[in-house]
Amino acid sequence: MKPIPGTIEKSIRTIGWDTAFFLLAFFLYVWLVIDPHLIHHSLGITMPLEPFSVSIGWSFFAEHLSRPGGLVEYAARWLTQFFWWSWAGALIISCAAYLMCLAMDVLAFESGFKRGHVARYVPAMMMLVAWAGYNHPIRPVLSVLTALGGFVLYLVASRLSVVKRPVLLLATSLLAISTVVYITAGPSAGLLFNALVAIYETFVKRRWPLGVAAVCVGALVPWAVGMALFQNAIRNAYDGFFIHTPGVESWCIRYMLIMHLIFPATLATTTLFHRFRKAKAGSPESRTLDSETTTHDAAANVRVWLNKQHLWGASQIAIVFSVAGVIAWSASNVETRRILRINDFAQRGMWPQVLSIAQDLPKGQYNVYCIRNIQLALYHAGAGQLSEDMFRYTQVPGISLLQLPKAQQTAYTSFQESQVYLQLGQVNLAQRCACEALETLSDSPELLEHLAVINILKDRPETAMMFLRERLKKPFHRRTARAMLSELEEDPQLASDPRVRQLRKLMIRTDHAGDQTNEEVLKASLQDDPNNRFAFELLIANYLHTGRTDKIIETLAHPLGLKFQPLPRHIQEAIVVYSLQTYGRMPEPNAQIGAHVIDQAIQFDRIGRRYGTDNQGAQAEAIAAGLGTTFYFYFKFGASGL
Amino acid sequence: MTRKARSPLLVILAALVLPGTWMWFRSENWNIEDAANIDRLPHIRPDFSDAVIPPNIAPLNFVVQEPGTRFLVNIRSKHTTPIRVVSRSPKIEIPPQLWRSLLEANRGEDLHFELYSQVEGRWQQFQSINNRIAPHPIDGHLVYRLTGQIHNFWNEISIFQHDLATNEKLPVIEGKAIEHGCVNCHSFSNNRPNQMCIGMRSSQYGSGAIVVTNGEAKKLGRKLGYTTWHPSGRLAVYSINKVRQFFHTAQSSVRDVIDMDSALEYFDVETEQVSLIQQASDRKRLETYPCWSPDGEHLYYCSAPILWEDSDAVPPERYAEVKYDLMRIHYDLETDTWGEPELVLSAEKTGLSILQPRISPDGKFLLFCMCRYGCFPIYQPTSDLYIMDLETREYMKPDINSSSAEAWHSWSSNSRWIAFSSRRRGGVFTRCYLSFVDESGQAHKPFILPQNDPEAYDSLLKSMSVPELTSAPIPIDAQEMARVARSEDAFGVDAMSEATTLVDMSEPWEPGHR
Repeated sequence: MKPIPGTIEKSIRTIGWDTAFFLLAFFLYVWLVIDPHLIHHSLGITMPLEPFSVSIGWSFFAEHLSRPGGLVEYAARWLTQFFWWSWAGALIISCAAYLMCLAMDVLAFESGFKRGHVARYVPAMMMLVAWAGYNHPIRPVLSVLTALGGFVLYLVASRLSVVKRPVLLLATSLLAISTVVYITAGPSAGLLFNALVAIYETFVKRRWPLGVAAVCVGALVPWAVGMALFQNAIRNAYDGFFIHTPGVESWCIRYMLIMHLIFPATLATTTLFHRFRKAKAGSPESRTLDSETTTHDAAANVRVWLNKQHLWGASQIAIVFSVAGVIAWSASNVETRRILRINDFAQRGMWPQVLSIAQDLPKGQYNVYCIRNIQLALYHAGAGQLSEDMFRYTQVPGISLLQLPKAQQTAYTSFQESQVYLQLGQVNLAQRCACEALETLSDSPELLEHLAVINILKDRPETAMMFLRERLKKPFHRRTARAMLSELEEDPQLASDPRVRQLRKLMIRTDHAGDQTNEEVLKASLQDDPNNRFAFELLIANYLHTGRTDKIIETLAHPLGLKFQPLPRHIQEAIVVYSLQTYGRMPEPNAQIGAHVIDQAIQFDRIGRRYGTDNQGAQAEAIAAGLGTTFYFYFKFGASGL
Repeated sequence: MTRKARSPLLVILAALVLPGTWMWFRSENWNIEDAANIDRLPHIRPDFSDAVIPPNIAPLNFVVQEPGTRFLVNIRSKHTTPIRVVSRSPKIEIPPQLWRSLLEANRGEDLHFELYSQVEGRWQQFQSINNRIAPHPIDGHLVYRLTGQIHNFWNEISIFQHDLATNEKLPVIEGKAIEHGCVNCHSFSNNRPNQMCIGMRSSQYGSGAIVVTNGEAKKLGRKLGYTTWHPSGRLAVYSINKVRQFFHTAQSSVRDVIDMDSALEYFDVETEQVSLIQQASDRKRLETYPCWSPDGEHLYYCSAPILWEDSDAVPPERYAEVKYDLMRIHYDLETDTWGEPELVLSAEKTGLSILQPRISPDGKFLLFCMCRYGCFPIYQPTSDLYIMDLETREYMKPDINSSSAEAWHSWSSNSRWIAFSSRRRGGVFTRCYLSFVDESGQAHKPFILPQNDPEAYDSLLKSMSVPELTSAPIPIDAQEMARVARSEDAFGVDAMSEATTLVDMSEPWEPGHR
C-alpha cells in the first residue's frame, strides 16, 4: 500500500534531543531518587498487595478474562513484579512516559501542529508526581495507553478509509476498537478512546455523524459488553479505574484525572487554535509538515539548532525542564521513602542501615513500622543495646513489637508480630497473626514461606507444602520454594535446617487458653526457655515502655540480667527513678550506676521543679539540655528521641 | 524452483509428515506390552483407592506420585471397554464422557485403575488400584462454605455449590456481595434446595437470614443459628448461641470456641412467628445443634450443663469439662406441643462431648461426632464421627476417621451417602469427603471431593466446610441471593417469648473484618 502523506509515523520521527534528555533525566530520577524497589516493597505496607499480586497459571489468567479491564489488571500485576529491580521499574515507568509523549505528539500532529510542544510532557509529569509520592498508578497508566493505542489504530483505519468505503469501515472500526479497548482496559479507557474519536471526527475531520456515533458507542459499549456480556452491575460497568484505583491515594486522583483529560483537551484545543490561526491568516488549509523536521542528518540538525526559532524552542525546553525539576522535587515524598527504606532494610536483616536512616527521621513524629524496626535493629545490634538506646529514638507508649492498640493494627503489623512471636517461640501466636495477615494482606511470598515454617515447626509438613506450592506460583520465588519443597520431601521435619532447629528449641510447651498481656507472653517464653535472650530483652523493654521500674529491678535477677556488665543506660536510669519513687532520694553513684546518669537525673529533677506544672516549658528545657533521649524524659512526658 | 511449483510440494510433504509423526507418537511411545511389574500399589494424590464411589460422580482425576516421563492409566470395569488415559505429566485427567458411560454401565461392579509409568524409556506397571461403583447414586450437589483460616478477621467467606457429576462450582452467595459480610449456617429441608436458609451478618446490611421457600428468597430480619427444617417444611428449629472464641498458645489447634449460653427456638414459616422451646431452653444448661427425625415427631439436640458463674470470663472456668449429652424431645405438629426432654446418649457414658446429630432420611441411623470437650468439634483434633443404630441405640466408630478433626456431616436423600468435613490432610484446612454407607450402617473408606484439577487441593489455602448434600441445584443464583441479602425490606418476626433476651447472637470470630 502506498504511504499516505501526513502519516502518524511522521509525527513520531520528530522526537528529538529534548525528548531524549527529558527521558534520560526522567529515568535517572525514577531509578535513583524514587527507587521503584521501594514501591514494590510498599505493597502490603502502605499500599494494598492483593491488586498487584500475581500467580503463574492459566486459572489466574482466566479469572481476569471475566471482567472488563481484566487484561490491563493482569498486565499491571506482572509489570509490578519487575519493580523489585529498581532499574527495571524505572524503565517501565520511563517507557510509559515516552509513549505518552508520543501520543501527545500524534494528537498535536492530527490537529495541525508539528509536535505536542510543552504539553507533551504533562502526562509524564503527572505520572512522576504519583510515583514520587509512592503511589503506584500502573493500572490507570496502562489503561490510558490502551485507549491511546486504540485511537492510533482508529487513525490508521481512518487513513485506509480515505481510499474506499469510508463511513462503513470507520463505523465498524469504531465499534470494534471501542469494544476491544473496553474489554482490555475497562470503562475509563473506553471513555477516553471514544472521547478522542468524537473530538477528532467532530472538530478535526468535521464528520459530525461519526462524532455522534463515537459518543453513542461510548455510552452503549459498557451497557452491552459490561452489563449484558460480563453481567456487571451498572455501577461496575461504567465505573472506571480512575475513580477507585488500587495503588492511588485520594490526593493523587486529581493527577490521574489530568493524565486522562489532557489528551482530549489537547486534541480539542489545538484543533480549535489551529483553526483560529488559519482563519486569522486567511490562508487555505495546509497540513504539510516542514520538510526539515524529517531530515535526520546530524549536521543539519546542528544548523537548525542554531536557528533563532530553535533557540526559542530551547528556552521553552529549559523552562519545561526547570518546571519538571521543581515538580519532581516537590512531589518527592522523603518521609515515606525513609520509612520504606527502614522497613526494607529491616526485612533484609540489614540492621546497621536501619539505625543509620533512623537518625534522619524527623523528631517528634512517629510511624509504627519504624518504631518496631528500630527496636528490632537495636536488639540485633548486641546484648543490652535495646535498653541502652531505645529512647534515643521516638518511642510511643503502647507501641511495642507485640500486640498493638486496635487503632494501630494493620495487615502488615500482624505479619510483623507473627515474625516476632516466632522468634520468641510462641508458634501458635505466630500462626494466628500470620493467618490474619494472610486474610487481610493477601498471599505475599514472604508470608507464605513464613507460614510454611510455622507448620513445619508444628509437625504439619503437608500443610507446609501447601503454602510452598502456593509460593511456587509466585514469579521470581519459584526456585526457593522448589528447593524448600524438595528438602521437606526428604526430611519432613527439616531437622537439618539450623533455623528450624533453633526455633524448635525456643518453642513454648505450656499451654495457655485465652488472651494474654505482652508481659505474660514474654514471661511464658522466658519460663520455657530461660536462655531466650530475645524474650528477656523485650520484657525489659516492655517494662521500660510501661514505666514499671519495680519490675525491671525484679527481672534483673534473671541469669540473663546478671550478664549485663555494665548495666545498659536506660536500666540505670530506671533504677534511679525507682530509688526516687521508693526511697525519695537519689542513689549514690556505684559500680552499676554511672555518675553521668545521676547527674542527668539531678538536672532533670531541677528542671521539673523549676517549671512545676508547666510541662511544655519543662520539656523544652530538658530537650535543650540533651535530656530528650533519656528514660527520665519518657517516664515523665511519654515521648522520646527529642 | 518457482514459488508456484514449491507450494504443492510443501502441502504434499506436510500431508506425509504430520500423520506419520502422529502415528509414531501413538504407536511407538505408548507400547506397554513389555512393561515390568512393580509389586506394589502406585502412590497417587488424592487417594482414590479401596473406596466405594457413586455411579454419578465426576472423574476421579489424580496426580501420580511416582517417577516417570510418561504415564498411562487403563480404567476398566466389567461391562465396558477400558478407558485409556495417556499423559506426559503426572496429572491424570479422565475424559468425562467416557467416565460417565463407564460408571453408568457398571453400577455395583469393581473399578480398576491400571497404572503404568515410563522411566528411562522402560514402562513399568504397578498393582491395580481397586475401587467399587455403588449401585446407589449420590445427591447431585454439595453445598459448602469456603473460608480462609479465620481467627479474628476475614476477607472473603462464600457459600458454593458443587455439581458432583461435572465438578462445576457456582457461588450461592459471596461475602463480598454484602461488603465482606459473613455468610454461614446453610441448611436445607429434606435435602431440597427450594426450601433452605442461609445466615448472614454484615456491618452494612445487618444480621439476619435468607430464607428460601418454594424457590423464592426472602430476607428474615433475625439471625438463625444451627438450623433444622421440620420434614413438613412448616417450621424450622434453630439454636441461638452466645459464642466466644479464644486461642491456645501451645496446643495443636490454635482456635477454640465456647458457647457461653444457648437455647433453641423455632420459626413458623406460615405465621412468621418465633417461639422459644421452653423445654429445651433451660437457663442452667446449653442447648444446641437441633436435628429433626425424618418422621418429624422428635427433635434431637445436644445439651450440657453450664459450669461457670462468671459469664464474662473467656474462656470460662472449667471450659474443658463441658460435655454435651444427646437428647431428644417429642413434638406434635398439629397441636404445636412439645413433650419432655429425653436422654438418648449421655456424655457421662461416652466420656466425650456429643455433637452435631444428623439422622439418615430413612430414619435408621444417627450420625454424630464426639470430641474431648466443648461445642465446636472441627476445632478439636479429637473429634470423630460415630454412627448409632436408632433401633438398638448402639453406636460404633466407623473406620472413616483420622487423627485430625471430623465434623459437619450430612446425609444424601437416599441415606446411602454421607458427606463430612475433615482436616486429615495436613491438620489445618478442612476438606469435604464422601463415604458410602451400606444398609447395615457400615461406612466405607471415604474419598475427597473430586476436582477437575487434581492438584486443586495442593495449594488451596481455604477451608471447605459444612458440606450439605442436595438433590438439585439451588434455584436462585448468587446475584439474586446478594440482592435479597442487601435489600432493606427484611420481613420481621413476632417473638412469642422472652427468647430474644435470653442470649445475644454472635459468631465465633467476633470483631469482624478489617
